[in-house]
Amino acid sequence: MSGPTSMKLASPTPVDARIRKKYLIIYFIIIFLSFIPLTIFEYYYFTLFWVSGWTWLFWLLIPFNIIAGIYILLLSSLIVSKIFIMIVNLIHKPKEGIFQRDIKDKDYLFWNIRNLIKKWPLYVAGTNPLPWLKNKFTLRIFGVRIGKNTSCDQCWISSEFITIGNNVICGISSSILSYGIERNKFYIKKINIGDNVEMGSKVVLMPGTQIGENAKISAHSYTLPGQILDVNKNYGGHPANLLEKSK
Amino acid sequence: MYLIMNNKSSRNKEKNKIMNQAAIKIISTSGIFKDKASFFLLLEFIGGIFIVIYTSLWLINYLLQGFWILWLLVPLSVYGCLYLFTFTITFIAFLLLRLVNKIYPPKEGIFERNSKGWKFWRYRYWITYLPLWSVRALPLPWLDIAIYRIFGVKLGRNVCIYDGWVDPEFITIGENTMTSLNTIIHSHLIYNDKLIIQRVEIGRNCIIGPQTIVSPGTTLEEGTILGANSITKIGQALEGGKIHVGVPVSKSFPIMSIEETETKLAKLGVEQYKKKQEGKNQEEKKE
Repeated sequence: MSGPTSMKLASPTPVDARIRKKYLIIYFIIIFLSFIPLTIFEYYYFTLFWVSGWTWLFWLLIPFNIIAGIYILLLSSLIVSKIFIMIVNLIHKPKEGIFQRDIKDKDYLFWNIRNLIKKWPLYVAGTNPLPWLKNKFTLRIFGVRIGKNTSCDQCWISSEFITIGNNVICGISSSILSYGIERNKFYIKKINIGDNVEMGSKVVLMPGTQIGENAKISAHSYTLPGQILDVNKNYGGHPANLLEKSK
Repeated sequence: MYLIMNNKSSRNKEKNKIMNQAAIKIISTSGIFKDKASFFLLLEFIGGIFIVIYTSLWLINYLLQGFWILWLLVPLSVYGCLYLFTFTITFIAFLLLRLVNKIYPPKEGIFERNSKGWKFWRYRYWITYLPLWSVRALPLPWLDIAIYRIFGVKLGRNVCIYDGWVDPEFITIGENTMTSLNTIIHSHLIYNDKLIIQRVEIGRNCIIGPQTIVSPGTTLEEGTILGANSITKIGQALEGGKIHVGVPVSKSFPIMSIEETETKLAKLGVEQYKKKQEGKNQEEKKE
């Protein structure tokens, strides 16, 4: 059930250490800007109830103040980082394909910068104690298409080039990755997951996998990059194969 | 291989019957959808914060009046408030659980989607969600054993479960068992619009390795070891005193002590081992 101490279920946003050193200022600017609406809210809360003499209302409304504070911080950080990402995407559009894993390579550089920008709002959403507007909400704003009635708050989903259908169940601590690194090469490929797919816990989907409707993947299995799983069939194993006697 | 139910566990015949009805493979998911039941959580959250504030109001009053020495007490009070928050939450959750369980007592078995059993399982999930979250976010995470016990999980002494996902119902764990990083112990499973709930029984002195999944209905006898990266099938019974490995568990090895492995290495004639022994002999001669 609730997460162990060693896990914070924010979606994965790795950043190259060489690029992080250069562009770390962006990260602090985003945090600074996202705290401004919260401070304004708290200032007005204090002046309304404390300074004007309604102290009993001040103490009575504190739990609602905390809940509102969490969500104001989440929304403001999301808006700030979304604006930053729109500016970055104007400079260089995100693309699928195979790239060099170098700082000089523009796609690799801008992928890292995008991750750096997304890190703060995803962290806020991941550590939120309340179950509303978590990872699913933030990922939808960053451009991941997720359908209705999907449960995907307890797994790692990377924040771009993914579409997930309706009524999908993603198991606990499974990871859906649209990026991969191999020696000097770095690749991004789109993942498609159809409607009514069930995934077991600890499933790993590598970049480029496409899952048909009603397919099922058993627990603790992974797919090869670019693998296609058929409609209405059960898969499992290392890597995922057709199971016997599937419907 | 995946579909064959293990027939060796004859004592679990009733469990196997349930399995054949549902024709379940190993797929074990934990589909948690948000619905109105999750508003139980808000009730606990607000109640917890209220009690924390009203117990620490006297301190805040004294601070505002200008007793500057009391600022030294603030870090202590923060630490105390964290624990007070979690234990008030668990108290409220405990009361809610008793109320819900009186209306519909929790049962093992198979439930259809949107049936009464499914609904009340979800209520129980959302009631126990926040206390477990807040305990594990605290600076003393191994205190979660106390809260699992309050929710009715039978845990023995010296149990360590704070680094994995454990369901807060239908689980018994014996003395001295250890679970390692990122293990999952489920007593529930969702497959094809059906919810299956079965009791998991883990004996004494067991070790459950990292990245394993224990699916509902499994029984671990005394002194078993579940190897790393392995899964158990539904309703599987593992023999005691052995290491079990596989996805799903299919192989088992005897547990070897360090001395036994050394003698085995000597029989195989490993060169490094010989050299070590020669070195030891020479030292003994010198003495």
